Amino acid sequence: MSEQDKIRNFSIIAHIDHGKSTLADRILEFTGAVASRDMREQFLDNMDLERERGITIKLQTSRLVYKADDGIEYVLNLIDTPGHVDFTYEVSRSLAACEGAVLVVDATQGVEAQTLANVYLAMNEDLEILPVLNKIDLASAEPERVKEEIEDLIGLDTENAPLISAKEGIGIKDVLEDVVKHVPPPSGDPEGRLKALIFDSYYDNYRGVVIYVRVIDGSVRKGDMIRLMNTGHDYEVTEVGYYEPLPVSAEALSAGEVGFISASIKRVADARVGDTVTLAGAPADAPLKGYKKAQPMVFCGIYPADGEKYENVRDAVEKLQVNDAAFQFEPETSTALGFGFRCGFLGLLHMEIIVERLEREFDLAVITTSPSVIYRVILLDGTEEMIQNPSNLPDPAEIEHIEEPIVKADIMIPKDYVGAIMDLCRDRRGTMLHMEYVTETRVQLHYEMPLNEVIYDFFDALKSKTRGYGSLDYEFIRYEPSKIVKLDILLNKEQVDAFSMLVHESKAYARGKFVTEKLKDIIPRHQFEIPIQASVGQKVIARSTVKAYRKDVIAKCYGGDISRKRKLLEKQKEGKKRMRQFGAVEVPQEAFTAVLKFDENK
Amino acid sequence: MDKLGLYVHIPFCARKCRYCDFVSYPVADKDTHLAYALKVILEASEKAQIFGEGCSVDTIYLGGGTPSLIEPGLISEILDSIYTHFWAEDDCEITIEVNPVSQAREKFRAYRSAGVNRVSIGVQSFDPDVLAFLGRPHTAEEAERAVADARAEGLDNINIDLMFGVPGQDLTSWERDLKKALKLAPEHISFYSLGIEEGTPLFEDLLEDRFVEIDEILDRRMYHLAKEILTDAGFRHYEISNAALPGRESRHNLKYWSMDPYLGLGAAAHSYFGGRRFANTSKLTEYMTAVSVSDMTNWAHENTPGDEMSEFVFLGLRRTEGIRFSDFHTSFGRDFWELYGEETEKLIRRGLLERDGDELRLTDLGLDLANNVFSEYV
Repeated sequence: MSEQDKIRNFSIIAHIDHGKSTLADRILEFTGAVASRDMREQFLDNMDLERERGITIKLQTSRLVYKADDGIEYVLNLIDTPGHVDFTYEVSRSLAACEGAVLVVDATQGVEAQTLANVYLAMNEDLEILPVLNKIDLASAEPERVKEEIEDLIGLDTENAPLISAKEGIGIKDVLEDVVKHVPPPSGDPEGRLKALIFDSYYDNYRGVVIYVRVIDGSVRKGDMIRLMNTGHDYEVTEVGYYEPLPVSAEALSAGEVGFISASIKRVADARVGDTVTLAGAPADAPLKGYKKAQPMVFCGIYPADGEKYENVRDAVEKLQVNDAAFQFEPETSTALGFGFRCGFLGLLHMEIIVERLEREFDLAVITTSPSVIYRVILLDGTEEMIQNPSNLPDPAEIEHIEEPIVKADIMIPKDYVGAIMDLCRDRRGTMLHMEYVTETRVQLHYEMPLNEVIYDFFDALKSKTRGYGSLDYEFIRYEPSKIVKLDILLNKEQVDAFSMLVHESKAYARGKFVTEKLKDIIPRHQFEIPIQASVGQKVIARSTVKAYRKDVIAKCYGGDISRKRKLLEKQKEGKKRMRQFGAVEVPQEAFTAVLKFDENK
Repeated sequence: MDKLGLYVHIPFCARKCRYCDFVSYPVADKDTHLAYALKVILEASEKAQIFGEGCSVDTIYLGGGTPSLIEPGLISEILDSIYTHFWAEDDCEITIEVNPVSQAREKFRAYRSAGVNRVSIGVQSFDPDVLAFLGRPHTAEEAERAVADARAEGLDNINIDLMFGVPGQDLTSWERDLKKALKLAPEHISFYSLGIEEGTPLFEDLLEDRFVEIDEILDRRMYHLAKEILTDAGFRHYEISNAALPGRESRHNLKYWSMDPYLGLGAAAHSYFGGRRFANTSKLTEYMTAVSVSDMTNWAHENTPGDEMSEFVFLGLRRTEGIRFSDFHTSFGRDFWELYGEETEKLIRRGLLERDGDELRLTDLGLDLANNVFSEYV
């Protein structure tokens, strides 16, 4: 038996919350890679934020040694995948590094939209898919029904699918035996020219950029001069090794193996996921297929809040970018908010994560502006501009037409909610392509929908309207002409650029009304009346008024109790500190985030 | 000799009014009253030892609660103990708060012979609907009679408390209240805008939408009307909520706004002495079982120079005459403008403050939005 024959490269794929991370933890524990007493819950999800949200953002990968029932010691490379719709491309590259995937399906929930989306990705990479039914310990588990679903929907044989409980540690060995028996060993040429797939990278303070690779052909060792084929740069390898799951140096990585390379690469953006590593002296003839440059889909402005230094925010976004090639930023200036950054994200979740990391890891106070997609603006002179900042929209007189990005959205829901979700999608300007019953009780809806409708709070609305059972997957398909207008907000007759947004004509009134009403509630009363207006061009389409206050005085004397007065006054003063001044109007910082959440029940 | 004010808190009421958020307990039991008075007497003697040396007392204020609920004899005992332990000045202003129902002429007579020379009568309104809304335990007639009785017993320094901004009240009924009050010829009128405070029955009712708060514009019209009517009647509007005939301002209450020292006796009573603010526990049983003055103190704060300066400004500005920059300099050795120039200029521009030579005071608009001004100085 060759060394390659004893290697199994696999991922675990699942819908969010179906137990992917817990199973990974148990496998690490079972193979002794991590002693259970050292086990932090869900070892692979090592960022606090990921732990809290139950999703994987940065990948963790581990090399495990497992002695199977046939008496042979196998090397199992468990390759983690990100767990959210924003990171589809990253998932596909992780899967491309494997020969097999363990498909975890929650035996109480059944197949979900992301289950399917992940299965399709795995099928695209020709992986052997091994279904596993999790949460079998729960009283509400229905393994037989869920097995049937998997057979009907995915066409996988589930007769011998392990019934497990990752939480309780039941059935872990069955999963590993399945992996050893059914996932094919790698079949690359160890003597061939080096071809290794980058499926993740991160920045390490000591090593610089560390890249995770799966070696397809050939081998790589310390001192080699490597070339990243798509970016074309060469680097000298300073270290190669494995994650067990802590990093351990190795002599070399050869065909079939998974590990890390550090080569004093400065920025994560230089070592892009999907790129091919080869040797500069003896390059492979062609890179591996499937490379794509991460393309931000959602943009917003990030500004230092009052009292926060611009330099601190700049340092933080620079640090984040070093570790996140998909996150982009460039400086921009807003008349309302001053100096800040225009930032690009893969999706809304990606954006939320970055903002939360700025606030929590870097302890910064930032203001974010309305998220926007990229519009293609065709001018009368035939030129086109890609616009994501409403302030940069050319003069309407020069615009021929505007196009917006359309996505294909696959929504899976229990059948009882079909009506509600069709209403929601119609409201979000969706066009239904088709609908199918995936089982007797569950339906998949296929829509084409403008991305700008998806990024506001479509996912939240979907979840709340289906009591959490709805799931969503989407991907960009094309640009399409659309009636996009710029909605401006005026406070006391002065436009505040940070509130401007690009919206579909049919939505302008509703959003204008929502924002003006919201601001009316949030902006405290002043000595004078403040008109709040929403306008499209010169036309005011919605308005509200913050009434002037007439009275703000403690009348009583409380027998000399001054502390009570002082407390009240201090509270009042504290409130003022969190305000931002626009002309004569003071606006609380929360106003900027509050207008982002469109609560349609209100 | 330093002049000292004394505040005595009597935390008992027949029942609690619906708007009241002062510390008071609905206890009618006479033994409790007696025990409480004895405790206050003990506290007076102990506080006199700690703080009284080198001070003379020139104002005493018996507030509540309802001081007139307890036996006049107890008031007399409390005052006597104060005279014994402190050095009270001959012209000491001695005020007692009374409710219209709980007194008779004999009570006023007793107060007067105990040394009381000023009464503050909680009339609030002469409008039965307003009285009912507030949950006041008396009628308009009883209120009128109380004022007349006090006068008849020779009390010649009388305050009438009035309230406006009460749901259901309108400008006409408020004007009627003011005129009726003036007809009773008091020397002093306090006019408070109703504040609906958390924890009161009114607050609960408001949450349950059982009534609608009065419009702020109407509230301010009532306030402006009161200032006008009282000024026309020869009163001086000397503090946000107080007006008096010249020379009849409440000397005790002015101490609060002028950073003068005062000591509080009784549960929940606050003190300001030697740059330190402190307060007694507001819990009756804790107060009653405290073994010493320090044991009953449950809050204390040593004012920093910054606290002193900010209080000088935000308390002083409650007086319509405002503050003097020269006084500020005398008290702190610092230049007011150097410290507060920026805020003050801004408030002057906003029309909330006006400067008049050495003086700085609230404008009419500033009186309406006083917290806005004060919060700039804390």
